[in-house]
Amino acid sequence: MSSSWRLGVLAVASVLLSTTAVLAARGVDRPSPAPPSDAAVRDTDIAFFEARVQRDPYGARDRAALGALYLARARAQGSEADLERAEALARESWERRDKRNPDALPLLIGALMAQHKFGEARTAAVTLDRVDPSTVATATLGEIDLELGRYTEADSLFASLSVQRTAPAVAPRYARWLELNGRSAEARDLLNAMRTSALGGYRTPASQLAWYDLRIGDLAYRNGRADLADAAYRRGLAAQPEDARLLTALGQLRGAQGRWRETIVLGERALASLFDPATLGLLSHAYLAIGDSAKSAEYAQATEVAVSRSPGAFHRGWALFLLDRGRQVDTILARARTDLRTRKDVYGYDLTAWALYRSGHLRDAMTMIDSALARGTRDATLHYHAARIAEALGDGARQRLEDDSALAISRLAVSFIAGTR
Amino acid sequence: MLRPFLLAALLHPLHTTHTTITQGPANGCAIEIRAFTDDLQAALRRRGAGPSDSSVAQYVRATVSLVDPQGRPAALQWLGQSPDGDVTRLRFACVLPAPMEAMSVRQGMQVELYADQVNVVQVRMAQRRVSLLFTPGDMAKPVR
Repeated sequence: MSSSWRLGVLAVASVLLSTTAVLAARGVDRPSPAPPSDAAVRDTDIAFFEARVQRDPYGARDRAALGALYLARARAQGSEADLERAEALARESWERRDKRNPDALPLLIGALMAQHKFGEARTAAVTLDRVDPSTVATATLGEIDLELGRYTEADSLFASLSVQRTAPAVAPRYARWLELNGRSAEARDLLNAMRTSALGGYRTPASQLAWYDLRIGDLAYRNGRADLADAAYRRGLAAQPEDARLLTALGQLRGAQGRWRETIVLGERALASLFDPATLGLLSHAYLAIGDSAKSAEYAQATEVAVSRSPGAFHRGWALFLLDRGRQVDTILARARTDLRTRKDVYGYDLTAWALYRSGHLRDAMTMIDSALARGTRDATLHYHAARIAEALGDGARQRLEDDSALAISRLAVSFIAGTR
Repeated sequence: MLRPFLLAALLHPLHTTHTTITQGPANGCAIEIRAFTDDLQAALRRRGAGPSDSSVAQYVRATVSLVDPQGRPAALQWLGQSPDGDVTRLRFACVLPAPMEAMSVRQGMQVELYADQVNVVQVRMAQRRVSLLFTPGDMAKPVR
């Protein structure tokens, strides 16, 4: 948190304190005001910094602080306009001062990555690593390299962070690298240790604990541990009862367990908090599973409409859903191929393979899925896709091998995938 | 310091509103609509209107409806609007001409602006909840 950010929060707190003091001095018997919500504090801070930025056309720190607030609000509310504001303010801040301005580049990188502008984010991260080298800068560059499929570079960066892997800003990225390299148990241990540490920290936000619970639950789910996934998701929801991502994740778990009506309840609760096409897709699966094909089609149609204008890079989870419903196969194949030119990562290869399979290009699909599997990532979906492609090619031995691998990694994930087709 | 979240945890531009219709006693109901402020203002500008209460209420009444099987609409009584970050919350009260289960709902806000608009409506009744989705071209849908 920058000093000027703290100033904004303090300004709110002091207003509240002084108001309470005045009322008490006047003998007004009123209940104590409820503390402002995080969102209310953030909006007050935004107004505060907007005024400062207006007054000072040269202020670099204020622009970075305001951009950080916009980025936080974008994450909370899914606002595209806030993301663009955050990116613009980060650029303005860096243009005004490219020395002793530690917040501008991390903000720019965060805003660019949230928009899937990974190439530009990497350029900014390389600059950050040069002008302000730190473990966080290295981990950030490593994370971007993972997204871009630059695994050799990522391996080198993360290997250099082994000793610092438990630093709060390094650990989640390090865990992701471990997972992509098939070292899921180490990733789980690291995330569990970080959550325990965060729990013992001073005023750790509930949202941060819930984020760890989501990641820990997802790892368990992908490794077939329904008990651990269930415990992690429910623990997160105890802290953040309407966290849409946790609700959707638990809904997916319930679907994998065949408890689709619970999936519907959880998914619709998630939709009340945050509009996410992934939740629409999950609900489409759930309604189909309970035999309500009309409702399922309504959700599938809404998913297709919602993502139809998503510019530039696109969300792979949404694309897989549409492919499985036979929607926009040619469009998705074209976009996946374009995406793969700059992002040669595991899931880029997987999506392209699945789009090729759905469009009948089986040999090319097998080549692509082999590239996806080359890292040794423990993900049942990858092996399930490989099995279906091998099956379509009439390669029974490869099909059995891949099906066995998928089941060995996560019977749970296979159950969900199979239940949605 | 960067927060310990993966930076690529992701946002995509989406056009949406969320409407909650809560059944009250004696066929009363409360409606709350959450819309991104910039999208709402763009819709108002397209109609040559500003963000005044009367303009917003008029826009909502033109695009959102609850109708019974005889075609009788529920009158939407404006209660107010309030900003909530990048979102504006719009509140209405209404009296339904028939039980909620018999009503049909249409939520067509902003579909004239965006081809990828998806409006989510969640109807909360005493015993159950119903979700309805509206995309461009959709007509009224029964609550049932």
